[in-house]
Amino acid sequence: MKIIYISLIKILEVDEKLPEELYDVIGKIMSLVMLNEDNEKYRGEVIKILELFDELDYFNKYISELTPLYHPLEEEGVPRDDEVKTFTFSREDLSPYVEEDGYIVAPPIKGVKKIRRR
Amino acid sequence: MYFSKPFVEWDEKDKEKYLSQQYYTALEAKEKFNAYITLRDFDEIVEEYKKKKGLLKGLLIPVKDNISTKGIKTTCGSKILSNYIPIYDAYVIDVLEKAGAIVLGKTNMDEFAMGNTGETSFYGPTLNPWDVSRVPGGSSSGSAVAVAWKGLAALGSDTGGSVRQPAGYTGILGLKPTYGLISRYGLVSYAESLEQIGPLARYSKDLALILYHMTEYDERDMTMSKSRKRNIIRKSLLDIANSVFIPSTTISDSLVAYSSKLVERSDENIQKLFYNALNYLEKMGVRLIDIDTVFLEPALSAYYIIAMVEASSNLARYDGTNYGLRVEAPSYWVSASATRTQGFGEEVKRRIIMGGFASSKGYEGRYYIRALKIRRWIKESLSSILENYTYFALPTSPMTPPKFGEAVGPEGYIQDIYTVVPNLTGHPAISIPVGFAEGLPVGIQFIGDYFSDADLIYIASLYEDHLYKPNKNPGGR
Repeated sequence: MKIIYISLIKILEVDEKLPEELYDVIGKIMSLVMLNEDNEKYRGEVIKILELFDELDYFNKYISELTPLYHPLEEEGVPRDDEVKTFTFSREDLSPYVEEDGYIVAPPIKGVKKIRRR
Repeated sequence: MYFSKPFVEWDEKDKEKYLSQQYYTALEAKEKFNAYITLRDFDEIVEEYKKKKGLLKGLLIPVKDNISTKGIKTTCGSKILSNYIPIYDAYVIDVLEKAGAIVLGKTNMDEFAMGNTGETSFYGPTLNPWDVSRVPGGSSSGSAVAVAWKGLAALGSDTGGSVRQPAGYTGILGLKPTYGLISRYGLVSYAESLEQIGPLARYSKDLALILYHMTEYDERDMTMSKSRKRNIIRKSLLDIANSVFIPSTTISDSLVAYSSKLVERSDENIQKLFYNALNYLEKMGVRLIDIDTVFLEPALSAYYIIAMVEASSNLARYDGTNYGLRVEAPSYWVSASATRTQGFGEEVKRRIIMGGFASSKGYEGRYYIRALKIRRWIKESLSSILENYTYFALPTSPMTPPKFGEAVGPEGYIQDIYTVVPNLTGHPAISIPVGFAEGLPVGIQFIGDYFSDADLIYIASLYEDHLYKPNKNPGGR
């Protein structure tokens, strides 16, 4: 019943594919500190997972013409059209209220009491 | 105590009478089988009950701990989220609560839904009430046990069989809905292109009623389907709940495809019960057709590659900055690494690393892209089968629930061989209990065409009280 079979030859191939250094580097990229004892512990399990991954080798002839399917729903996310507004950066356009000392006063926000400047 | 009739058939008196009994069975499930991570206070539930209205008033619902619940701890079965309390409800919680249901508690699960035995939870394993030396399946282990142990219904999530497999192992109904039928808003992501929230229930009518509420359209989930079939399904689900459903294809006109080559990979006692269940339908006039399914051979490999790649990306957010565990350190990088290393369990770390490897430069084409091509092959092939046949049947699992420690980690991935298929393609699938092998429940799985969710529940209703006895409980009465 076991589908995940492990032959010695396969183990050697896999071993070359994911050397400890690479495992360590990926661990760092993923922000996981992999201790040597972890590597040793995971080694057998990693080999089994890679064996499972490599079962895809037998099916290349069926998929050579196919494109990858990233998502079961192949609906496109269509963004709405951009609404381009004419805009100037003149002080008058940004705020019609200009204090004499040069500060720009923004329009009042509804429901918020005016804050007095000290 | 167990509930001898579906919740749908309860009157007002029943609802009041059974409120405390629902809570009591949950308390038992927590203490005996570790089914809950968080169980709410009963007084709080009673106060909420008084204010409730709607079709689901009186239903206390256990929720898998990766579905966000406002004000209730949501740990995902992980140490890294052990202190995380969401500030909002998942959409499904929102709609169920509006319909009168009350969240009973948060159920135990494999950490971040990565596992199929219920053993990878930081909060300890969930036990199978049919045999406590065996696993209840996963990752929705607690939700399945909460229903199997004298309960009514629960919410789980299904990424590669996480609702159907534990439902099969504990002798209840479990549905993975069509991808895009249910909002994933508030579901903590593990592999977003594969997973859906799904209901588990004792009775098919309750499964239909809960799914009816869950299928309301939610614009906040961009992956929700805009198909008009939604309204048709919703009507059909209400019809099932009210016993007036007419299936789109009458049962005597149905064609059920299966693959004897695939079934052969199961243990003998599973094969026997699988064919017995198909023969039961044949007696009703269903035609059974044995088909060749070479395209399903690489499904398990493709699934694990895609799931691990998506996991490595989704779980990058847990660095201690925004929520969850944080290990203090002088710099961000040291803190993030220490947080993740201490916060994640072994299986999660393994999947993150392998997902990072499968999508890394130089290996992406060999693993990830190729898995996605296989996925297209499987989707196109299965869709074409479901154009010609009404359903495609498979066992839910190739084995009965294994003992603890026997199938944890990569050794146990084989249990998903039949359940990963509809997750890759987005089709709906249901697991229905069809008997016992050596005293342990066994399920059969039916996969239907997109949006045939109601028809699948109808198939379950045909087995109910015949091959599946919803009144049979692990602990007797």
